[in-house]
Amino acid sequence: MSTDARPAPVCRIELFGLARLAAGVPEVSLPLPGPVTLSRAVRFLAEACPALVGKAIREDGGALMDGYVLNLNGLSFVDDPSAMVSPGESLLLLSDQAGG
Amino acid sequence: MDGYHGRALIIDLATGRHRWQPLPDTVQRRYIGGVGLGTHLLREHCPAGADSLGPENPLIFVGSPLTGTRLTTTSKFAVLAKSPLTGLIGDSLSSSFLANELKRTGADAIVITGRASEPSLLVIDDGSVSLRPARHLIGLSTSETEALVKEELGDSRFRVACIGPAGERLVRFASIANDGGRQAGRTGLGAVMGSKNLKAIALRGSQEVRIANPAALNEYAGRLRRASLGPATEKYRVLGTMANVAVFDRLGTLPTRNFQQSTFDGAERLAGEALHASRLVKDAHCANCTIGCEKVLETAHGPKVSARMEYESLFALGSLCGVDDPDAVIRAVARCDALGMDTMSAGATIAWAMECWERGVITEADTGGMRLRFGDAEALLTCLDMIAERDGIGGVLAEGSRRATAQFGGGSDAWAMHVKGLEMPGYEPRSLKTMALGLAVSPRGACHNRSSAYDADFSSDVDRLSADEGRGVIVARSEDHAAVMDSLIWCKFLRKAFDDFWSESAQAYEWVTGEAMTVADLQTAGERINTAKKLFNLSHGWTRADDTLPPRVFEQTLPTGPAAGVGLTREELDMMVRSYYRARGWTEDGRVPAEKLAALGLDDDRLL
Repeated sequence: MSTDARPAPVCRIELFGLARLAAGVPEVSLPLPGPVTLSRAVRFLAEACPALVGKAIREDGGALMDGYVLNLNGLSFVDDPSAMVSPGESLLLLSDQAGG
Repeated sequence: MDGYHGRALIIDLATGRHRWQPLPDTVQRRYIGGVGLGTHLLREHCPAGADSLGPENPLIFVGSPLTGTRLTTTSKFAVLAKSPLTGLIGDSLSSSFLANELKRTGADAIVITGRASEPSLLVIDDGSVSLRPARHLIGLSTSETEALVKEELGDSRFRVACIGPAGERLVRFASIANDGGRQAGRTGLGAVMGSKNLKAIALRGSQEVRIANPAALNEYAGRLRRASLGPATEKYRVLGTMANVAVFDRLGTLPTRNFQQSTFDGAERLAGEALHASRLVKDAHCANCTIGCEKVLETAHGPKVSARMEYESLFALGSLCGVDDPDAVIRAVARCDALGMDTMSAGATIAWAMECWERGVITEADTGGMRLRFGDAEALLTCLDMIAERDGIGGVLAEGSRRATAQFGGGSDAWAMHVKGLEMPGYEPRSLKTMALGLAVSPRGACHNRSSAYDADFSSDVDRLSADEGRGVIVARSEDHAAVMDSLIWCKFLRKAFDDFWSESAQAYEWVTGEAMTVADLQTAGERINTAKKLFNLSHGWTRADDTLPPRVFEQTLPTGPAAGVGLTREELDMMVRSYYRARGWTEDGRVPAEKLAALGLDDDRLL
C-alpha cells in the first residue's frame, strides 16, 4: 500500500503582536483548496481561528480590521484583496504600526 | 501671540547670571517650538567650530505651544546641543511632567551656556534662577539624584532633569533623565550637561499661557483622545514597541551580532509577546498621555530588577550583542538608565567591541581578562559599568564606536555601525531600502525618529528590498512630517490616529495661538526646520561624504532570513541620496542654494 507523501495543501498563517495574543498560538495552518484571493484566505482564517474575529478580522470575516496588515512569505506587504495566495505559502498577520 | 511666553531664558553657568531673550512671533511661527525652535536657538548660540564638550556649546531645553493643553501626548520637550558623538546637531526628545513645568517657568526655552566652577544644581523657580553646589550628588544614579533634589528642595512639584555617573564622566552617549526614568537618550546630551558641571536642573513654575480658543481646542482634544484609544495605537498600548522583535526577525530586519545577520535565533525569547506574558508587571504613561506605551518588565530569576522596556533597548542590548536572556537585557537596561546612558549607543558600541574580540582586534590584554564574546550577558553588564566609570577598556568604549576604532585599529572601522558617529538603530538597512536612505541623510546621524522612512518599507507602497529614485521624495516628506511632530510636539505613536495630520495640526496650532496657520505653512515649517538643521551641520563641518552608511552595509549581503543574499551597493545608495537632494531642492553635493534659503526665509534667519 502506498502512502501519499505530498505535504498537505495548507497556507501557513504566522501571527504577530496582538493577533498572536488573541489567538493564543504563534501560527495557524490553513487548508486551502488551491490558489485563493487574499480576501478568501482571510475568510478561511476567520473560520479556522474565530478568536481573531473582532480583534484582527472584521466581524463579517471578509477583511482585516484597521491597524492590521498582511505580508506574503516575509517579503512583500499585500493589501490588494484580489491578490492570490497559494498552498505552501506563508501569510504574516501583523500590526501596521511599524515604529519604535 | 497666545500659546507662548515669547521669550527664552539664557543662563551663563560661568557667572551665574541670566537674561531674557525675546522670541518674536515671526520666529515662533517659523519654528513652532520643540526641535524646530531649538534648532534655531542652537544656530544662534553655538558658534561654528565650537567644542561639543566646551563651555561654548549651549545646552537648550525647549517646550512647545501644545504643551500644557489637554491634547494627548503633548507633554514633551526637546533638548539640543552640538553632539559630542557626531560633532553635528544633537537633539533628543523626552516627556512627562517636566515638560509641563518647563512651560510654567515662563520661558519657551532655556539656553544654558558656560561651565559652572563646581558640580552644581540649577534651580529655576517661576523664572528666578539660582545655582547651588551639588558635589554631594556626584556619583548618584539618575533616580537617586532626582529623589534627593526633590527632597532637598522640599516640594514635590519641582521636576528634575539630571545626569548619572556616565554624564559626569563625559561618556559621549550619556543621557539626561527626568520623571523617574524618562530619557533624552540619543546624541550624548548628558555628556554636554556633564561638561558644564551641571548635575541636575530643577524646575517649578506657575506661569500659564493663554489659549486663544479653549472651547474649540478642548472639544478637539476629546475627539483626539478617543481616536488615540483606537486601533491606530493598539500595538503601543498593549505590547509597546517591544512587539517589533518577533516580526522584525521574521522579516529579516532585526540587526543581530553587530549587523552580521538580520535574524536572531534567540528572537522568540526576547519577543514582546513572550515578555508580555512572562515579565510584564505594569504599564506606565507619560503625563497627559492616553497611549501608555511604556511596559515595565521585571526579571523572573535572580535578584528582582525592573526596567521600562522598548524595542530599541531590546535590540541593542539583546540581539545586537547576541544576548537572548530576557533577564540579562532587563538588567542591562536598568543599568543604563541608572548610569544615565543611551541604551542604543551603549549596546551598539559593545557589539562592535564583541566583534573586535572575535576577530582578535581586542584581546584579554585590553579587557583585563574579560572575554567579550557575543552572547555573554555577564560581559555585557560588566562593560556597561566599565563604560560609565571609564574603567579600563570602558574608557575607550565611552567615546562611542567611531572614536574607538581609532584606538584599536585593525580594520575595525569596517564593522563600526554608525552614521556620522551616531550608532545605528534597530532597522536593518539592507532589507529596508527607504530606511537606508533615511539613516544616511539624517542630520543627527543614524536615526529612526527624525523621519519614519520605515513606514514606506513596511507597506505595499515600495519594494523594501530594492532601491529606486522614488525614495528621495518619500524620505524628505517623512522628515518634514517628523519635524513638525517634533516641534509642536506630538508623540510619534499618535501619528496614525489623525484623520488628517496636517490639517488637524494646523487647526490645533491656530486654536492655541490665535495665529492663522495653513497646511502649506506647516509643511513649509517642516522643510524650514530640516533645512535649518542642515545649515547648522554645514557650519560645523558636514560634507557630502557624511551622508552614507557603514562599510559593512555595502560589502556584505545578508546571510539569513527572507532577505538572504540581499545587499546594498554604494551606487544604489548614491542614487537615492541624489534623489533626496533633488527632492529637497539642494545642489548635487547636498548644499542649500541661495534661492532655497530665500524661499524658506532662511537667508537672514540668524538675525532675531
